[in-house]
Amino acid sequence: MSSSMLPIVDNIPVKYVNEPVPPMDRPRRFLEVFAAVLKHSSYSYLLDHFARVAAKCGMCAVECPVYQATGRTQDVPCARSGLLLDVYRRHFTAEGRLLARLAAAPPLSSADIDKMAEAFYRCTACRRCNLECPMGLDHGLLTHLGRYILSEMDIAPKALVVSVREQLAGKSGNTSGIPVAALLDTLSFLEDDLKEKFNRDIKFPVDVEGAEYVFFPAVSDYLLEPDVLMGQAAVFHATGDSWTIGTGNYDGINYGLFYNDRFLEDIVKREVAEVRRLKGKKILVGECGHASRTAKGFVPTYGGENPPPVVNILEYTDRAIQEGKLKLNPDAIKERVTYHDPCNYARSGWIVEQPRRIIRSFIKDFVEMEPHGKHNYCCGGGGGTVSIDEMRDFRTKIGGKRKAEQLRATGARYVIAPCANCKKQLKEVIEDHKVDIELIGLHDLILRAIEFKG
Amino acid sequence: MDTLIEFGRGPLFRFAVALAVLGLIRLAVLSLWGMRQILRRAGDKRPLDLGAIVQRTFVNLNPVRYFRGNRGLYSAVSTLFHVGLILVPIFLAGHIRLWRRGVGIGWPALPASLADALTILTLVTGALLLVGRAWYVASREMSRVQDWLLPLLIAFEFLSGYLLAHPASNPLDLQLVTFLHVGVGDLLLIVTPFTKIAHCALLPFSQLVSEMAWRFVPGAGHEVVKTLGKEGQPI
Repeated sequence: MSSSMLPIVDNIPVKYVNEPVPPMDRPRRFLEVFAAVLKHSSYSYLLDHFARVAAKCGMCAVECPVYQATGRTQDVPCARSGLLLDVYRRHFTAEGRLLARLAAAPPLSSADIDKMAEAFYRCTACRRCNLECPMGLDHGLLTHLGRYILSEMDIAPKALVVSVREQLAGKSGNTSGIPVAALLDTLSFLEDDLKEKFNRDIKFPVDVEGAEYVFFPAVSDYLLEPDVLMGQAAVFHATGDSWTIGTGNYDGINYGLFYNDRFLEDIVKREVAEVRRLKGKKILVGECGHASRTAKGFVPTYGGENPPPVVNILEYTDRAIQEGKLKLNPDAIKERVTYHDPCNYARSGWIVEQPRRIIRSFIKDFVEMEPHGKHNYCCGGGGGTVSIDEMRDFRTKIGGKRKAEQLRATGARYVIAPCANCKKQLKEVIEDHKVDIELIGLHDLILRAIEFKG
Repeated sequence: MDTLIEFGRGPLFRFAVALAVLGLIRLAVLSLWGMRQILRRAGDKRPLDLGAIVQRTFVNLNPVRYFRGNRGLYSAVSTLFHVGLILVPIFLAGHIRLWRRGVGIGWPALPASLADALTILTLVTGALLLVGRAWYVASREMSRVQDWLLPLLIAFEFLSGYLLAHPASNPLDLQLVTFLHVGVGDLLLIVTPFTKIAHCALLPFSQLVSEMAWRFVPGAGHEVVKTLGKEGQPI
């Protein structure tokens, strides 16, 4: 721990240590961090624009699943964004500073910071509000920025910090602490299982140089989702395309998206470095929503010259079916199935139709939730909140309330939830709301239905 | 009072218009410049899908899509409010005469009956929006001073304008109503670039700004850490 003396404040010498910052210094620290972020990033242009157009009409509230469950003003997206925009206006714009002097407005306080910390983590960052804001404000981005500023003053959920710490500075280099030996054991076990199922040598290639695809699932899949992984390996066996898992980095998870741009960048760079190490051609991300979004959205930003293209496994499998390389037994799944759209790739419209084409190619009884696609409701555990176990009650009873209602309304036997985080959250929603439905991944079902030629 | 009215219609009006127009142009230019800076500094050099962004802009601006669902009524009322709000100040015959006198330019006017109808529409819908803002908890608790004051001032403008156009219906002193109408009108123009009324110039850029803003600056996070003196600190 380092410490240094700050200037005397009110004749009280204040020592600065790594954690925590004494309460009287928090407002100053917040503003220092905010100023540093504005200096080095492009957020100020965004804040200037949004600060001017916000109409406080409340249209965003209508679409927010958290607000719909709580009815509390603090959960209105515009109110939450306003917490940060007010600080920006008051402390970082000439007009704001002038008006504050004229109106004797109070400066930022420690209580305001607490309010922001709570507000930004009550948000699931699902960005549903963006669809309805008539002024086009991106409240999800403002939540992202708010969390980033707070994190640089060491206000961040422990679960996210611990995971990122292990991924960037720990021995295993991944969020679940899975060492390479355990990974290889797991893959060997899955290969044996696939041999038993299909009487074929379906492999998980490791450290293959020059492969078309370098695979980055959510690393927790190696612990929790064997059927998903086996389904994906089976798809590659059917198509014959070259792919590999790299032992230098096999974790697509990127919690930097949820709270800190520095970590977002570092984790993306590690992904790209692994692809370059293996001389791979493309990044293939698993079903995980945020892992897909961070790769797709930020590899072009942080991936240097000629960054590798990013493909999601659902895109890959969809194309394989369209090209006739993958055959699925249409009688394998007789039960009614519904599909949950992960926000991180459905909200932008990137992955909406692909899973539906896959599902319709072999599942007869498919029913949509309403709304679905781009307008889906968040599982309730978005924005990294699913990793915060202490928030379970809030996540399932508040954030997940709408989702539970949707699930019940479909009458489905299975809900397909591709994203790893959505899976955890929906399992808890199903349990806490006692919904009679089973959660499954898409490649789990593909594993049951896949048919090989010859 | 005549002197003040003439001042309000003359030099003050010209000043207010200049401030409003130049202020809005400034904001639009700053917004465009900001977007240029974002793209220049962004690590992601892929071309923007401008077609999709323009489409989203028009979709977002299209009030009809909001007419269904939970805020359908609000959207319909707000749309009708904006129709009168935009058309009447620009195309009212009396205002065009003011423009001709003040800056020497004019254009065709609305028929008087249509102007009257739009004025009443704006008054009624403005009142409904205010009631809606007060009734809907989310907007009521978030509202700032300007969110209450601006609709009231706008409603006052339209009401006073209607009374001026129909002296027989005006129970108040004509000079007083004229003075207040001119004064509040100039005030609304002056505050335009400094309040949310600026959305009239900035709204078309919102989708573009939101799209671009996710194009972060490579290395920014580490520069922030250096600036804060946190280099080398463990996660």
